[in-house]
Amino acid sequence: MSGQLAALLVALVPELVAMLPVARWAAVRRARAAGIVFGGPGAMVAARRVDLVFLDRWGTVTTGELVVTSIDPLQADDDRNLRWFAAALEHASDHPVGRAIARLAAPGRLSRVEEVPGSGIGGSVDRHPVRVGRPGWLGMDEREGLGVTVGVEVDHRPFGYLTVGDEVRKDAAGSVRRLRDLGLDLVLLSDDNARNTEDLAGRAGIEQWLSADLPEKRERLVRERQESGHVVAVAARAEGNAGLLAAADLALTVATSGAGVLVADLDAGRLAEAFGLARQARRGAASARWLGGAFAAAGVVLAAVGVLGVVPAAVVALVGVAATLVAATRSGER
Amino acid sequence: MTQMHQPVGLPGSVVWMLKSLEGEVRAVAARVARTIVEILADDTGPEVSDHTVFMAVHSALAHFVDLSMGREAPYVAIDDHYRRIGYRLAAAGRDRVVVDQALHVATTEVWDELRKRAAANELSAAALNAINEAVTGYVEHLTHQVDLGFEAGSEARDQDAGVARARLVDRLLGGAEQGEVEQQAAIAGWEVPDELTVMVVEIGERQRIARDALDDVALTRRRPTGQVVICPADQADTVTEQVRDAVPEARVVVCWPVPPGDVAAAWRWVNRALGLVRAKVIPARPVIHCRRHRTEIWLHAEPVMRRQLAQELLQPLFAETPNSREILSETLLVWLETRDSAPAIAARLGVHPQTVRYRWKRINDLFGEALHDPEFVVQLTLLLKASVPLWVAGDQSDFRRYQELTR
Repeated sequence: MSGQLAALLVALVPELVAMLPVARWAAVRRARAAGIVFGGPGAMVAARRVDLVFLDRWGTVTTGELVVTSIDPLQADDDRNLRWFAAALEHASDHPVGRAIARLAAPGRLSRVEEVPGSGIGGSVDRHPVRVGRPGWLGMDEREGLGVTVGVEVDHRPFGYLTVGDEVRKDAAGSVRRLRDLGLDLVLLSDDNARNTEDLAGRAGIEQWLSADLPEKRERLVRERQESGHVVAVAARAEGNAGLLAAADLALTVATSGAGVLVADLDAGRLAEAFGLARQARRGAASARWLGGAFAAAGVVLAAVGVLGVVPAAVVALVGVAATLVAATRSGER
Repeated sequence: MTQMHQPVGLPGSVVWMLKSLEGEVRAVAARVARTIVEILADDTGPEVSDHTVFMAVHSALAHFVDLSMGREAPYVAIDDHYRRIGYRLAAAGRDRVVVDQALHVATTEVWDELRKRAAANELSAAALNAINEAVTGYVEHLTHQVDLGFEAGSEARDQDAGVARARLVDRLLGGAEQGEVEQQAAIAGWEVPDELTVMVVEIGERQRIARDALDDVALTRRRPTGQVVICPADQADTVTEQVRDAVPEARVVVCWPVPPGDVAAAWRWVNRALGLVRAKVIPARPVIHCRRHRTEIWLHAEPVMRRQLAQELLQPLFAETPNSREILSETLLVWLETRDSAPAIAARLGVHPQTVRYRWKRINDLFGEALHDPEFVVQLTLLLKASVPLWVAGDQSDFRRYQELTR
């Protein structure tokens, strides 16, 4: 009798193992390796529930930096001169547009540099007076088109135009597709104008886009979606987006600590990885519970009718535990 | 100092013997003078004639005899005479050894004569001693007078030499004829070399370079624009260092070597160079070597012509801002001088090579085909070399005048 009881108890082991959160542990480990940290069990649960993701323009489908997309000197052979003088001056600027222009050339010898908020920057490059900024500020004709177009003036003469735009990640469309394949609705949120935002959304393959630069307005957009029944995640940089991230059901941001999902960068591909891992962990846990339960039930039945002794019961239990663990951990893989 | 004599107290036998000599003083003096002239024929110069020697011996002998006879005989004339001899020798730059030798010869001759007479008169040894002492004392007195005269003559000679050197400087700076310069140089005791270096030292009004601060080969004199220094060309470096040691805070402008006939021109050049340093055309350094700034010195000799050339050749730059004019002309000048690549010119100007390419494009836009005209390029190079430092220093008068004319 005692042998039969022992066989019954041994047969239950796979069920006990299936109750452990092995799948979540495996998902967390894989996430860390992929530069993703779930800030607690709640983050992973929330990630599973999310059905709509706001992707901020900076860093998700773009590299987070602007690039010069067009160089238009007023005289055709001034292309290099235009690059040189504008870039040399913009090395003194911390504005994203300035940083993009600065990458066109090495730093130069600057003097009397002055930034005019909302207009541009002026100074001397190798003793030549140079200004880069809004064409209207320089007395030049404004130009319509995609991106941000600035005018360049050298030696008090209009010299040309430079256009700066978002640098879209090479795999942006693929990443967006992966997110959508996870059942997520995507909304591109941009602080740029409507024309540029629409263009960016089109290049990234995102159908919904919203152009809003005021924090309150962006926050309100999230709440509206929540009120319509969505579980909303926001992927955005922490700087300047505190309210937006706080309003979301799940915040994905670049940080070293905090709630939500912390990521090495906001690359849409990495975000897809995070959501994928959360969903797969749930599937892994379900598989493990099913397999553990099946082995335990079979063992108990066979032990109860006396077919299974202690040793065979232990063998069945071991096989059941192994199968449960494999189901829990493998389900976390891609 | 002249003294009134106290008669020499000699024994009666000596006085008697000298009395016998009194009538023969002139003959003895003539003989002694002849001996002196014969012995020192090679050493005496025009300053000491035979007559002078005779007069010196005769007057001294006569005066000694007078003193020995106990007569009142003032020293004034004889002392003056011997001082004059010393003075003349010193003033002529002669060594005073010749006087000492003459005195020695005279003393020996006179003493021989006295001994002969003493022997003839059978004078005692005591009497002979007395006369020896008298003669020795008298000669010492005369020697002292020569010393005084020689000392005064030396002082006067120094002063005369300074004046002569100053006159020589004036002759050289005034562009005097070669003969006149050489004559004055001979008076000053200065040898005129084939090539001279002329310097101007920029010192304060009350400052002077002491004559002994420089080697004797250097002539120097204060002039209204500064202190001039003239020296043989091969001594220029040494003299420049001596000038720097004497007045370390003063700027020295050194001309290239010139023949003596061109010293006046060299003086103009060093003064012009000094003016250009003050106008910041030539970089201010403690020692300015004119050789390195010949073009500037040359072209600034004709300021009106330079300005007219600027207004004619540089018209394309006149519409530019002063800053643009300055940097474009500076770049153009470096290119004309070196014909280097953009990176090399950029390194020289301390700018980025692309800045040089941009400037070169602008220069070509402004000047066009003119830059292919050799005559234009030569004139432009010289003009820019003379003018760019002026504009860089902030003198924009060339352009202002043009704008006023064309307004």
